[in-house]
Amino acid sequence: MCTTDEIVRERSDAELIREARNGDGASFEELVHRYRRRAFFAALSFMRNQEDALDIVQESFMKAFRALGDFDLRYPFYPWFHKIVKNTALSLLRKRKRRRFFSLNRVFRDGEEQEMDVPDATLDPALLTDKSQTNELLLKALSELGEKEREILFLRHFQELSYKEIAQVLQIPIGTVMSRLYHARAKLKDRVEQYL
Amino acid sequence: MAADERQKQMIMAYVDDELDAAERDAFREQMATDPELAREVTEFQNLVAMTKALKLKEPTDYEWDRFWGSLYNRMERGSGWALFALGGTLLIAYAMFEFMRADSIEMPWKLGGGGLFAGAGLLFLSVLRGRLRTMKYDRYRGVKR
Repeated sequence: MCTTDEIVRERSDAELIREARNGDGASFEELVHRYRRRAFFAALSFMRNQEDALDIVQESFMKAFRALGDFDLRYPFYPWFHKIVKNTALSLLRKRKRRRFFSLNRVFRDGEEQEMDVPDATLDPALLTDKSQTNELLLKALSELGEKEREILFLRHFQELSYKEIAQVLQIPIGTVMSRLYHARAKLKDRVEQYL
Repeated sequence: MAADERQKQMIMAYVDDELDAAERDAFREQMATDPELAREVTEFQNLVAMTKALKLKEPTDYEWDRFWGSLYNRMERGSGWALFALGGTLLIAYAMFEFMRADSIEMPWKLGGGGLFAGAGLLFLSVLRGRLRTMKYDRYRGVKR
């Protein structure tokens, strides 16, 4: 006798995309449901707080929805979507940086216009489920890493991807995944040791 | 590849349990004869354990429901606006065409009507172009009021 699981086979990404292209909203909703958590952590690695990360994920799904027709079904969906999330986040950050440069942080000192020192934003401590001192320090240390280092650590720890999956998402060889992880973790270790 | 870089890669693969059984055994043997390597591996294992213990809040089911609702509205409205604009343009163009070729309407009416439509179209395009141009440099665009 067949179990329910056997009868209700999970549809592949390609099937969902094909149906979404034909106007099936439920298939796109399933695709969103399948990748929203991964996309949230991907966005968070760039944006630093939940509200901004959700905005980026929403904007990215909108872009993906509009571009589904161009997506090549021979390739996996998530690496393509990750790139959309990353580009959307980086583009927003660039715009914010430009706006900040031309407005609030320009001050007059000794009669000359100068740029005010604005510290880089850190990951919002409100994101912590357990606000122990160690976790707060680790979050701060993560915030201080470079964009590529934080991205790979988020892929490994919060999106829980294997090396093979990370290599696919970032389109780099597995050896580079390992090297990048080593250097990211070495920097994180140095920062955490400094705080503890 | 430098032996040093290969060693770093092996350390990562070991702490993340990405080595096969033979590679893992060989690496353990290497650690047994190299205390410096064993110490570095332990430090990374501690860091990985710390990072795994770090849990970040995820949106609740309610927040995800709202997220989907808002996304769905945007998708639907996008299609709605596109159809509305296309339908409106076609309708206006056709009405204009019929208006200009109708024998029952006298020339002064046609000239007046044509000028009115052409003027409205030009004004619309001009406002749209100006808006798009200033939007690029509007420093208050992202400010929530």
